[in-house]
Amino acid sequence: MKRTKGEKIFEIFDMIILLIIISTIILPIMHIISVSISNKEAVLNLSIGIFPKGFTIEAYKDVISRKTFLSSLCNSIYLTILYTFFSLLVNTMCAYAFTKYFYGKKYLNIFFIITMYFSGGLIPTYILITNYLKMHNTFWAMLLPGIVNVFYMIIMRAQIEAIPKELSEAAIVDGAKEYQVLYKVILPAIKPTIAAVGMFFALDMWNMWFSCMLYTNKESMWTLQYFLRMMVFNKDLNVDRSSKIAISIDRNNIAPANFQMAAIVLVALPIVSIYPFIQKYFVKGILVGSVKG
Amino acid sequence: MEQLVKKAYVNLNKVKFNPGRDIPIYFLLLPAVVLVIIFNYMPIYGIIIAFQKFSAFKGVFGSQWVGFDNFKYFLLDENFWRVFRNTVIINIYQIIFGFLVPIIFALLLNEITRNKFKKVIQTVSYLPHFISWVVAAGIFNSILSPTNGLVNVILNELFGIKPIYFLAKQEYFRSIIVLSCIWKGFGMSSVYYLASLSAIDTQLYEASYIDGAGKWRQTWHITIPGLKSIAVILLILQIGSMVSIGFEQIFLMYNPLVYDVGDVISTYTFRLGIEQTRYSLTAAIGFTQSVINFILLYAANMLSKKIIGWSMW
Repeated sequence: MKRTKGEKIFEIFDMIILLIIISTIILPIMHIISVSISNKEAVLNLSIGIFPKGFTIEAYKDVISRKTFLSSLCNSIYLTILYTFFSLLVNTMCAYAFTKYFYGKKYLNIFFIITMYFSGGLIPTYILITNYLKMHNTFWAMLLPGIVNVFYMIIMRAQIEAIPKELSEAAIVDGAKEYQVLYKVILPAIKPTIAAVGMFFALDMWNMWFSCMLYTNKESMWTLQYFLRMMVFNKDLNVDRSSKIAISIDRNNIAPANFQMAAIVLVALPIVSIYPFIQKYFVKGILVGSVKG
Repeated sequence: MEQLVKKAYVNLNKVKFNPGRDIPIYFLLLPAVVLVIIFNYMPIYGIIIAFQKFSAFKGVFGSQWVGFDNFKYFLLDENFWRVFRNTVIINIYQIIFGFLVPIIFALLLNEITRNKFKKVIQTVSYLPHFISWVVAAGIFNSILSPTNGLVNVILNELFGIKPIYFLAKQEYFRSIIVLSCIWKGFGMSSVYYLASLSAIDTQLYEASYIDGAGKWRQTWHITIPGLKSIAVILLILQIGSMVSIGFEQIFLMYNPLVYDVGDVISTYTFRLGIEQTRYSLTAAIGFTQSVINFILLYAANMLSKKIIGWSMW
């Protein structure tokens, strides 16, 4: 097909529209970065668009030097690693088991599927975790409830089922034990799926703040996202926390907007800098999910 | 092939208990089963507090039964109907606009022949999906802020409009919520459509070109029909999760000034349940919410079976 002149003009228009759409993502980010590094006077004069006025990294220094920021960062890293590891372990074990025949498979399958459609809701879960399991102010409350994910489990199960049976049969003929089959044949074959699902788990936990708000009142147990929430949206904080934050900002002689934008940039930075490299797993993951689910 | 599947199915029903084969499998399943019982089934059992006057002292087993009193209470409460209305309105907006934007974006992107440009645009469009709602809401909060907000700076410099406190204005709040949701999701949602677009047979385009069809006719008669099934699937999934979506962004961005238009069932439940500890009442609301959710999912599924012959069950 030869491209006509009309088509070329169309493509240029198309590119312009796409650039406008994408600028709704780029411009706000430029704005945030500009405010975070602009001088205090410029910030207080309320005139910063997408380019910074002046240059200072005081706000960044202030955020990084906070004990809560560092502990929140550590908590987030720690929780993300633990959660990803245990979720993958539990869900892969379960997915593998479901590719076999065993007594009660049909009922256990229903047992898991039901949880995709019914849930107890926020309040019963909250009461269970705080009043009955006494997990208030522990990391267990943030980790355990989300470990089993039936949706991801079904994806992995479908991927394992897609492996030719001959592969594991050949291994068994060669004298491999059941666990060796899992370890040497199945796992390597579904490596890309495990990577994709693992990324989903990691992102979920990295971006988690709601469970943190529900189940802890200790500042030392905050996650990074919750730290940001407390810094930026402190309108409905209880009085002593908000005043503490306000006082510390004044003392440092930094405009609050400076400080908040710097916090947003720092919290977003890790994920924004690695997502271009991991996005292909997500694209693959959601496409597999849409075919199987 | 079909016979094979049938055979496997029959076998499944006839499987007898065989300790040597089954016990190792049960060990593999054990952790997941235990976690699901504790964190999924026990809360489902906990819904019974919706029919009690729950007190933390007496617990789930000792509290007084009150029948449907909690349900009567919130059904007669005008606050509940306010948040119910908001939930429906915001979700309908979200479904209509949130549904169209990724399709349009995918169609626009599909026409681009420069691969490098395409790749960059696509990668940038995924960015909002990866950041948390806290960061996204923080960004929206600051670009809309009356002091230093990008939107106000632009309005002021181009049109001389005085700063507007968007997040405190009832007339803007719902649009902001819907826009922020679209902003965060359109890039990733377009992935489904782009995948379907690349699956369309290029021979169709060539044949229609020979027959003299222009770009628009091709889009209308080949491209759009090619997207139909994935679009219906995504629409159904979205309708199915209608009552529960929207908590995080609304909770982060709303304030008492916009409760009248922005407060939804999930945020209302949170304030009432967690902050005011009215457990039984909110469990009753939560239960109603799950039931509505399930009915919607079921209805949407039936509909899709009829329209495109695809269903989740």
